[in-house]
Amino acid sequence: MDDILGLSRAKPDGSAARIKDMMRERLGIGEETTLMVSELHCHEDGCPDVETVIAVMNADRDKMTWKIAKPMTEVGEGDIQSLMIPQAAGA
Amino acid sequence: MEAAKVPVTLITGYLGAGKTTLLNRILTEQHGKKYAVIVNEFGEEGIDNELVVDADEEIFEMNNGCICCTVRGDLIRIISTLMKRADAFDGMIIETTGLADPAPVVQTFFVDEDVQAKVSLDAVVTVVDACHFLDAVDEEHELAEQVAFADIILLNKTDLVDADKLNAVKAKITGLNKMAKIIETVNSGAPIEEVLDRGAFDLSRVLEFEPGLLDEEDDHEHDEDIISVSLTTDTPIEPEKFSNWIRGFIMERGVDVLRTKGILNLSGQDNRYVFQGVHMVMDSAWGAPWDSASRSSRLVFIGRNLDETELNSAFQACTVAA
Repeated sequence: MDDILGLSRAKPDGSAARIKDMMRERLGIGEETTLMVSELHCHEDGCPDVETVIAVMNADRDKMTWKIAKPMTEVGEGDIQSLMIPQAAGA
Repeated sequence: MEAAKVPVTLITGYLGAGKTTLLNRILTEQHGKKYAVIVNEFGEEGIDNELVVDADEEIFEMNNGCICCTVRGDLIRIISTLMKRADAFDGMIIETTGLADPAPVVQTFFVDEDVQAKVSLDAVVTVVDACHFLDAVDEEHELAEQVAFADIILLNKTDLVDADKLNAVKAKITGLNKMAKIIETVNSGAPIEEVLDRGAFDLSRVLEFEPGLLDEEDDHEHDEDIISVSLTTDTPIEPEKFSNWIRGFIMERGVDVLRTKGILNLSGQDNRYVFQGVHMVMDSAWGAPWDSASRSSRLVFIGRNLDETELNSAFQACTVAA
C-alpha cells in the first residue's frame, strides 16, 4: 500500500553509495576514511528545503563538509566536480 | 532478501544512576551473544567485555546548529568501522555519559544510508535513580531529555525510597514520557529480555510495545518544560487533512518535538497506519488490519512547550466529522 500521508522516509535507492563513490574518486580516498551522505529536509530559517550534505569524517576529527542544494537522486558527477576541495583533502 | 541488521541498544541515564551496572549485567548474563560496547568514558567500574570502543562524544552539526540536523560523528565512524568486522558480534550497546544529549545519538541512526542498512536502533533505555531523580530533574536539563527519549526506563534503586516517593517519581516520569515502559529495579536488575531486542523503533511492533498509546487515562501534571501529550479520537481521520496538519506542525515545531508516535484509523482504510518520529525525521508503515477491533486513532507527542488544548483541537479537526 502507498504511504498516503507522505510520512515515510525515502527508501535507500543507492544514491548515497553512488555519491560516496564519486567523492572517493574525487578526493582520492579509500574505504578507511568514513564518508557520510545525507539528505536534509530542514525547515529552519535560511535553510534550503532539500539539500545533500556530504561529510568526510577522519579519525583525527578533521572534518570537511559540502552541501549541494538538491536531493541526493539529482546529485551528479558535475556537482561533485564543482565542489571546492581544500588542497589538503584532495589527491 | 534484506540482510539482518545489527540491533543497537542505547543506554542513557544520569551520573550514578546505574548505567554501567546494567551494562555489566547484560554482558555477563549467559545469553550466548557477543556485543560490541561503545562508551564515552571509562568509569571507575570496569566493563566486562572483549570489545569495548571509546567514543569521544563528537557532535557533528550538518546544518548550523539546528538540533534536528545534529548527529554524533564519532558514532558514524565507529559503527562504519565495526561493521567491517564480518559476523563479529550480535549487537551493539552504547553507553552515554550522564550529561549526553540523546537526540544526536538517536538521529545518527537515521541520517546515513550505510548506517541504516547495517544497524538499527533497537531501543533507548534510560536508567533513573529513584532516590535522586526528583531533586535533580528540574535542575538538570539532560535528565529530563533522557527520560523523554526513552523507550524503556529502569527505575533503579527502588530499595532506597518509600512507596510515596516511588509513586511521585513514577508520576513525574509519566508526565515527561507516557510511552515508555517503566521497570522497577534494584542494582539495575532488569530481566535482559525486557531490555534487549525490543524493536522499539520497528513500526511493525508499535502496538505491542507502547502501553501509553493505548492508555486514555491522562491525569498527570503538565507543568514541566517537557511534557507528554496523548490525543485520541474514535472518528475516522481524513488522510489529506491529517497529512497537511502533521507535516506543517513538524516542519514548524520539529525542534521542540522530541518524539512522536501514532496509530491512525484512516477513513476508507482496512489497516492501521502507524508512524513515529524523532524531531523532524518521520517514518510510517501500514499495520495490521482492524478487522473486528474497535477502531480509534491515538497520537503521542513528547516535547517542549506543547499546548495540549491546541494540539487536540488541531487533531480533532482532522477527522471526517470536522
